[in-house]
Amino acid sequence: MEPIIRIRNLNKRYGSKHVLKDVSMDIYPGQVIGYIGPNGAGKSTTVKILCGLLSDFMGEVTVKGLDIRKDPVGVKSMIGYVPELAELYDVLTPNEFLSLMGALYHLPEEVVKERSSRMLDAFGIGGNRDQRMETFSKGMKQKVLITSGLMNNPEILILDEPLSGLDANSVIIVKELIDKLAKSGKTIFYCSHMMDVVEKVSDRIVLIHEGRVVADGTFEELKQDQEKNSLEQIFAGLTASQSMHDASDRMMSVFEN
Amino acid sequence: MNTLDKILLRFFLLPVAFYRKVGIDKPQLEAILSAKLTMDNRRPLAFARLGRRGEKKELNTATLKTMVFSLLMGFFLIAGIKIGEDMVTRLTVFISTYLIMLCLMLIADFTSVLIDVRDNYIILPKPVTDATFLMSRLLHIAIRVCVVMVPLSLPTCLMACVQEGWTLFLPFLLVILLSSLFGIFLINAVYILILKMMDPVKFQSAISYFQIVFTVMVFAGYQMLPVLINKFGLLHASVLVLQNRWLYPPFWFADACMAIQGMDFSNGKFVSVALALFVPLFSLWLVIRYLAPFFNQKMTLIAAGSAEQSRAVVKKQKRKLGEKLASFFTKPGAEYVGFVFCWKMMFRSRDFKLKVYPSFGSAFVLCVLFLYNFGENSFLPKGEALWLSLLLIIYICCLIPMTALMQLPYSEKFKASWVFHAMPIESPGVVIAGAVKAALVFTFIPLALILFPLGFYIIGFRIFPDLLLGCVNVLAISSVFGLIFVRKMPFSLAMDAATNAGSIFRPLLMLSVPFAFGFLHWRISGSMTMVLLFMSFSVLISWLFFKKVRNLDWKSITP
Repeated sequence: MEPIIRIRNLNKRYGSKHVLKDVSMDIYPGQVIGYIGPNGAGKSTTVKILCGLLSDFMGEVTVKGLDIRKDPVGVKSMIGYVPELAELYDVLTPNEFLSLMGALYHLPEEVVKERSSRMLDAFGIGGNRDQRMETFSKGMKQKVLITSGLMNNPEILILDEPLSGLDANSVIIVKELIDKLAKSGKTIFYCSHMMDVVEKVSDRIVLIHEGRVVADGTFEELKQDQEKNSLEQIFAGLTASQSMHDASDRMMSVFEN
Repeated sequence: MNTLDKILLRFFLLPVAFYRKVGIDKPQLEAILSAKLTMDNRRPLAFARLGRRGEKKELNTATLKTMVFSLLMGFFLIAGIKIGEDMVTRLTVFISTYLIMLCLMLIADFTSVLIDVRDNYIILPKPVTDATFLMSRLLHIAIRVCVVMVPLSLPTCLMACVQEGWTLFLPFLLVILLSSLFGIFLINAVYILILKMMDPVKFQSAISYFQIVFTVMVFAGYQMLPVLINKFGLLHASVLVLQNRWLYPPFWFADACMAIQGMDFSNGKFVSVALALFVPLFSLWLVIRYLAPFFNQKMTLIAAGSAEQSRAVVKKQKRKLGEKLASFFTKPGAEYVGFVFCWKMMFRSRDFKLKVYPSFGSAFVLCVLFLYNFGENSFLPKGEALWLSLLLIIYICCLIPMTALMQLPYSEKFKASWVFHAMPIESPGVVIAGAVKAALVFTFIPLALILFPLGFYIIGFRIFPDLLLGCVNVLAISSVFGLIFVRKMPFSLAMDAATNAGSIFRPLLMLSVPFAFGFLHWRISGSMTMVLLFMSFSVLISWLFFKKVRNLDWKSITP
């Protein structure tokens, strides 16, 4: 099978800082990739390159055979992106915001209306569709962002901490949604720090540390390789320079005389 | 989006063929602009907010208010059309003023349009070409500029037409359009120059210093203009006699305007028309083709955040100036903490800097002006005139601590003030007293450093008691002001939530109390006993009011 995303020797520098070092991977249609790594490992940079936001990288990135540098617009129209921070134009109402998103994807107005109202209803915020988002909670904003990411029925969905701020019920909805989207053949690139969720939703986990891929495989494969029981332990084993117990002991020792 | 925006949007979207040719997607352009204009209409522009705090209520008529405000400002610009011997000179003066106003507005309002980092997350990941995105920003600015600049230039335009005939109307509009393009280019060029020299993350703070300097310069310009007009007899000057007039862009536009009206292209007028037409168009092309893409790419890095990951830096534990001053002026504990926190914020908070720093510059400009005016041409003997102007300066300087105190409760990061509520602080007044002291020390040190040497230099050491009394009085006035207006934790309120309470009362108080103190000071000076008495009275007032501030409890500071 042809990979839908192909990354070869991806390198990216910010000034003197080498953020991504020779990252290579093939992602196949229908896969849910859990992309994890400590803060500053290079996750967000990878996502920005995949979304066509950064073009000054070295190496090769193709999406469905399209070179992301040569045809960023073509690639962007296949992708749905839900950014990490709840960044949206919050003086607009969800309806206005989603119409803008639909227009940018060249979707007919009726389609946008139909899709957005059904998705917002499903999330339980249909009644707020004509209210300005200034007063929305973080979770409500996140629901609007997820709706906007799905609006164009994308083949590839890039989710950057999509569960942040969501209440427990919405988390269940989104997790099931990811599962169903993957089953319908969509490729999902899932970035998160929540190891238990990544462990459950992903069928392949890529761990990046200091700009390099340090582990790549299914959860079962990683467990066997690292001889650990949970993703949290695998993560710590591969990325922590010191024992976590040691760190917490040192913290507690502060209060001793 | 209101009707006017809709009409302007239709107008700017007319050249469909042009957009198609340069690879701009019109439906996308229209969608982006509609959303942006709707957003603008729900948030008043800073230009219309001058002197008036933002209101929390929803502003659907922001555009209309901005237009009315600009029209009022436009009447002030009519003065420009009176300066100069001939029409070219008058228009040159007007266009210079117009360009300054435009640039000021572009900096104050369009900095947020140009560096709206949310676009990086919302629009750029969508299938939008660079050209479409760029054009959306330029047209957004153009529509906003129209909304402000048309009413701003209308009164002068009509006045000029009454003077010179209605054939001037169209050339005038053309010239305004061209000079606006030129203004947009100028600001873009300056921003790009700053970006070339520094990291995009530092760019935002550099922009605020640029805004401060520019605000002071414009203030100075307006204050100095009448002086300059008198000194150089500008009312009857002519720009046409100047050899280097071609180096001054407003002259091209003015000359071109008159040349087109009279259809007279002789005597170098042709050069003016050519320059006025081609320089703005060429510079616009330069912005689209080279400058803006560079600008956009740099802007992505602001949002990227990781441009330069903050490196772990451990500084030597050295006591800084703020801490030394805090231990000198405050009691240990909450008051000390309030002082140190406030001291650091005054140097670092963008909002505080933008609101308070220009008042230092403006006070300096006023100082120079007073000394010049009183020293040069006054009905009083020279020594007394200088003494009086110094006295005026001292009391005008009251405005600086007052502005600082008024700004003290506000911050863009107001939400972080939860710390004050989460900590076991028994009496919030103690923290506020620390903060008020910090604001006073912060504004007093530079004032004293200027006033004392200035006084000794122009009058001599015999001014010392008066200077001291002046400073004590400023302290007393500020502490009264502090108690009335700083009844909130420092940096704990949103700028938008700034209430209008006392909006009429406040400027009146700001002006009348220092005036009363100053007048009394003037009357009693000369008698050492009275000076000492007055000083004791002011010290007592300051002490009493500080005691009051320190005793503020949670009940009295929460609404």
